[in-house]
Amino acid sequence: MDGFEILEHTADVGLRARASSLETLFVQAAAGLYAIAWEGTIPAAPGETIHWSYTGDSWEGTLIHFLNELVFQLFTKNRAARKLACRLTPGFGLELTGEWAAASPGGLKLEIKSATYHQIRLTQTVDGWQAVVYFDV
Amino acid sequence: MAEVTRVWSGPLIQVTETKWKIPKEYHPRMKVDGMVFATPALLTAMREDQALEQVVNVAQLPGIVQNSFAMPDIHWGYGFPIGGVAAFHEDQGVVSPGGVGYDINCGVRLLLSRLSREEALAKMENLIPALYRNVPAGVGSEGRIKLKGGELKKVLSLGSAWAVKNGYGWPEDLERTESRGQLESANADRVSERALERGGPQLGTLGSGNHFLEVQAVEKIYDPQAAAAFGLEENQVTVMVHCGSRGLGYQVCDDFLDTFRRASIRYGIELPDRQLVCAPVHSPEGEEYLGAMAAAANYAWANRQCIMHWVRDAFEHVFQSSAEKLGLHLLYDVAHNIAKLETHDVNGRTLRLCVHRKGATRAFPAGHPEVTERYQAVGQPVLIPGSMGTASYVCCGTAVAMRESFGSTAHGAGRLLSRHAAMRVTRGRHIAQELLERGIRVMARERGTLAEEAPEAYKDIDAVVDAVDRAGLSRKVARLVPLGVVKG
Repeated sequence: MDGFEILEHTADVGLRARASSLETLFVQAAAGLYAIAWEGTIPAAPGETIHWSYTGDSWEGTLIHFLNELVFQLFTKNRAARKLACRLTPGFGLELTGEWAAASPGGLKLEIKSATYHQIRLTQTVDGWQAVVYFDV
Repeated sequence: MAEVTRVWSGPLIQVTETKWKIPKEYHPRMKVDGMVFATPALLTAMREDQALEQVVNVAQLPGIVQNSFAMPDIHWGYGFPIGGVAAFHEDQGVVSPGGVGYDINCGVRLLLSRLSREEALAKMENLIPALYRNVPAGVGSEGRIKLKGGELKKVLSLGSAWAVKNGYGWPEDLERTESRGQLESANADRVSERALERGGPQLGTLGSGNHFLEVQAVEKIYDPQAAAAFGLEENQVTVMVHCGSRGLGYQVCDDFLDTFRRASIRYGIELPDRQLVCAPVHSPEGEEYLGAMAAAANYAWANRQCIMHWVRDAFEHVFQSSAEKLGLHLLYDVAHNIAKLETHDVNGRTLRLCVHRKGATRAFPAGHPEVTERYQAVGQPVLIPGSMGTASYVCCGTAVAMRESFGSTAHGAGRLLSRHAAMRVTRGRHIAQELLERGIRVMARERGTLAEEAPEAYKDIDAVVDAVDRAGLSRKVARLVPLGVVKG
């Protein structure tokens, strides 16, 4: 059941991610973001190890912060996360492991300004977890 | 692909032919009425997304004055609707990054020329590629200007004046730009390192999405006196540039949404939507945001100024004549995503207000002290771009706008279809070829952009401008039609 779908919005674009655990929900949301913004290939060479952690005041806030980190890295440093794994820490905290891989600017297909709080929902369902988030593009 | 829509079912009481009220009794937390400027036809489209609900949400914010306004091109945005105007008491009201938007000082400028439509059409095959080569565009595009050391902070402080000082334009361009292309309240030290990193390489770039550079011809003059003051005549070629503050502005907005989320809690502000986070105008958070926002606005003005310089350069190359001889003077530059401290008369009292225009254009009337000397007799030029392949308008500001909407009017056509819906309806079509058959030459970095930005994805610009003209929020001066377009 893990996966994502892209949602329509008059001016922008949204994403619904589903996963069996909260940790994998973040990974699915990242996959959704890349599906919206980028269609390049990642070189096989090893990338820089990701050292990133954040503690928000809600899981929604942590998700927005996480996605905006990926937006910044993709559009400013031209790199995408791969082998991404997430670990939850106390107080809505998230630790990422994985690699930053070079993402050629030629693969960028839609400029995302930011993930937003607009109508954000992150909920536990009978099957696991679900998040809805909209991006300003 | 899932659709997300919810049709408006709340009240809309007709006040005049083009003015509709959402009474504050509709929601117990509304402090003022919502006021929507539209024709009945435009209202039908407005009801189909959640923009009117957002007008209601904005009406609930502390210190809002008079009304929460919706322009005829309103559509669903983040927190505030796009096409929304709201003013807040300087002392008792708030400032909200969501009331400005991510693309701080997204705006439009229009260049005049002495060229006729026929002269431009004869060279269009060379002109559009020359503009395409000269002006970097597209997702993640980087500019030709390599700023060293603290130079970016000078851009943030000086705006258009930085560009002119560094050879990107003429001194006269400054007096023909809203606020002379520089908000003096800018505080570059409030712009984060991350924002500087994101926007530093992008100065002088068009970006992507609905941003464009368009060669146009004046098709019709409605107001000969104002047109003469603006230097417009029928069959004349003009060039329109639409873009904003690029990644720097996006990051400033993002940074302060985070700060304001905590501030809203600290100041005990109840929010109907988390994207409406706000803080008192003169709180530390409010002042820091206004300083950073002004810095991003200055970046956007410098950005459009640099782009205009390369437009002049491309014309010089193609027409083998100087920009001066070609008459490539700036008519005007307007911001349509900005918050400003302004003085307005409200119910017989003179108030200092923080006016948010998100997808709305300032439209000050003749005689207003902030209108440049050159246009004092007719009012501030208002530039309302259409979508790709459709007309754009030059209008002028009015006393009615000053009285009715804090000197504000519409900013463009406003989206009607989502990007994916636009892709669906244009599937199998070759948009560039269709436009070429209509005499409009288009070049874009991404083919997908042309489908997403197809004319049917937007409201009818003629209907939007007709609505503001009939409402008196601005007066039609000229209609411009596209001859060639460069898209990101």
